[in-house]
Amino acid sequence: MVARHEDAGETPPETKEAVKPEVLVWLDPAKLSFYWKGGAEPVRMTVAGDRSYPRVFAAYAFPHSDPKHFIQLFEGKPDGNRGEVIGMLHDCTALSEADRKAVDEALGRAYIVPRILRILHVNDMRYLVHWAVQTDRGASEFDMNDIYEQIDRREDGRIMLTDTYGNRYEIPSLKALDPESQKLLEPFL
Amino acid sequence: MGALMVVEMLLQLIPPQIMRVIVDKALVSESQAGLMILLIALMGVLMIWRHALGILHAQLGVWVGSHVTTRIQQQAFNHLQALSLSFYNRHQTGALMSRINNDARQMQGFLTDGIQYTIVNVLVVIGVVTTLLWMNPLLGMLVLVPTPFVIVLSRYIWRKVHRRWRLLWSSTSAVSSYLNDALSGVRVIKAFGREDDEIARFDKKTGTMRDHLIDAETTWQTLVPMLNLIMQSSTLLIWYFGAYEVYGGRLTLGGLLAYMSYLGMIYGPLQLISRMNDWLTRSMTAAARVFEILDTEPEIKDESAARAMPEIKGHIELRNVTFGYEKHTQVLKNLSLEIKPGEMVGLVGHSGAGKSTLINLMGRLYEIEDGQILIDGVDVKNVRVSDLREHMGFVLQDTFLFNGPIAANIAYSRPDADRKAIIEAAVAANAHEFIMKLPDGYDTIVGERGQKLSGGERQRISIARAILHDPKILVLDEATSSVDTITESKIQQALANLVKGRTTIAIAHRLSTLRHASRLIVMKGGEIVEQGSHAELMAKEGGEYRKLVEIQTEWSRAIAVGG
Repeated sequence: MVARHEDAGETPPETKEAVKPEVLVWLDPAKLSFYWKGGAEPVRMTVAGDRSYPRVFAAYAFPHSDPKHFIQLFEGKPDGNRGEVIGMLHDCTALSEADRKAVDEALGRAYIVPRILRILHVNDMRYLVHWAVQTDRGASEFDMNDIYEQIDRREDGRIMLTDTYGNRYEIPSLKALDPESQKLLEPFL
Repeated sequence: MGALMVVEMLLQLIPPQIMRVIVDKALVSESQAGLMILLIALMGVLMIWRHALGILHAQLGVWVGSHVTTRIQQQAFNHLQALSLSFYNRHQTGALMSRINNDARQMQGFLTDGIQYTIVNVLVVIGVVTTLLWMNPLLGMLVLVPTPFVIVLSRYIWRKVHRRWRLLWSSTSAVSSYLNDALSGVRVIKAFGREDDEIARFDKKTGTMRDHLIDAETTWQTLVPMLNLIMQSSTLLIWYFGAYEVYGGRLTLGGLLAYMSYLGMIYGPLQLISRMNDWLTRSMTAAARVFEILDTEPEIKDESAARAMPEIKGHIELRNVTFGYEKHTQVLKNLSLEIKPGEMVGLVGHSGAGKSTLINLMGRLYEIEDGQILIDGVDVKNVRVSDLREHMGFVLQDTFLFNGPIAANIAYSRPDADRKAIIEAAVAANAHEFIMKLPDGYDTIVGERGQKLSGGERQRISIARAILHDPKILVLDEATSSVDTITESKIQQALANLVKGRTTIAIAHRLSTLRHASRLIVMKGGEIVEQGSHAELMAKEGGEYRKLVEIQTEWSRAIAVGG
């Protein structure tokens, strides 16, 4: 629908649709308490003096450059998906250890980036490189093309690999790998 | 380094003398075998020393050359940052990139190897010729016979080849520029199905480059052997006259062999010196292009009396401003305008009316020809450029993001901003929500020119950047064009947050975008033809603004009816 601009009113004509402006609540860690029974159970949260959330989701604002701070919390929708934003938690380290563990669990569910512990085998087929690796989530195999573009060396020393399907794998640092794995990786760095 | 080169040259002159003693003294009888072994050992030691010194001076050359080139590249880039937009209007990006990359590297090659090889070889030639004259003045003079011919031919080669290298550079630079253009505009090429045309254009450009390369190399490869032939012709003379010197007992056999050995030593350096001609030509051409950048005077620079302006209120006044991008073609004509602090002014007019030019001049991106632009009553020419830009923020239609994380792009306007401030700016710009939906959040790498984000997302990042910059004067140039209405609403909201308490100059073709403006200024042909509120301007029968609104209304109606 396009509005018609025929009158000579006070202001130029509008074509806008109503959109809610973004608002962000900064959460006070002292008022938060989390609860997680373990396993696949949801992570719950209570904001003291306000309300409880039977299921919360979490996301990093700076997953690579500052994973300990700026965690955004979302409430869970009845269908189990991520819903509205509850607010932003500036400093996770201000939480109790149990609460932090619950937040880590919520974050772990959102970020499934396998961490490569060992490189077992690399087969360079010129335009495609096949990798067999051992990750913190078990053994995995994947292919990479555009190899030099898809290996991202971060300033903090982490190395991110992106496979042909866009899945990512993290190597905490080159030195964290055993010498044999380093030897296999080095030609591509 | 100079001392190293002299020692290296002297070490090269000794072995033929040893050879002479071996032939004349050590080879005459077996009883001289001890002397023979001693002389061979001496030659071995000299050989090791000469090569060790060669390694040392090569390493020094690499160090000096790399440092000098890097410094030149850095200076050229620094200088490019200081040059005004009019310089960039005159030069293609690809060509500038080629100057800083390829030309500076070409210079490095010469600085690393060229200069020292030239010096060493000139020293060797001088040393050898002096030795030859000392050993036998007649034969020594014969060595010099081809020299005048060599000089004349070298000058001829220089003239012939120099022009060809320039042509080759021009065509190489054109290929670089074209590649930069075609790869940046690959979406447009694909959208219009122009791949074949672009391939043909590229083929043509590389074909021209190939032809110039063949021409330059063929000329070079034809003329240089002729030069060598002339130089080596003296060998025949030396053999002929040298033989008679030996027959006459005026020269020993060892002496003649040493003589020929010295002669062999000068051809290499002479050939290299002639090759230097080519090397020098290329490097001088490359250097000229780099220094052309360094020698370009920035059009806009601080006057010696330029004053600091740490705080401003945001009062803008233009007095009889005249400006044209090219001489004799005026884009703005004797234009006067006053904008009060905190006022939001909308600039309206057809394309080419001079709206964008006007805001470019306010930011002193170009220098005006005539008139004055005053900020808080001070002529911008008398204000430090850095201070002026500090107080101005731009949100442009064509948002440019650097290939890096979103956070760094937002903080580009204020590198010291902490993460909390970055998030708050993004929230105010209605950008936080979409950023948090990205797996890497604020750490998301936006890709070259921010192409991994949509136009509306890029625009909101640029608004967040402006919010963080917190300027007193804000310029919005078509900040909401080319986005859908929901995105436009989000951007409008973000802009409403942004303009609070700032002097704002907004340009928009979509007149609805200017609904918050306290005054509308209508431009036509580089002049202000009307100004007032929307209601005042609509009340003018046959007025320019009213015509613009009516055209837009008709257009909207046509779209609505068309579906």
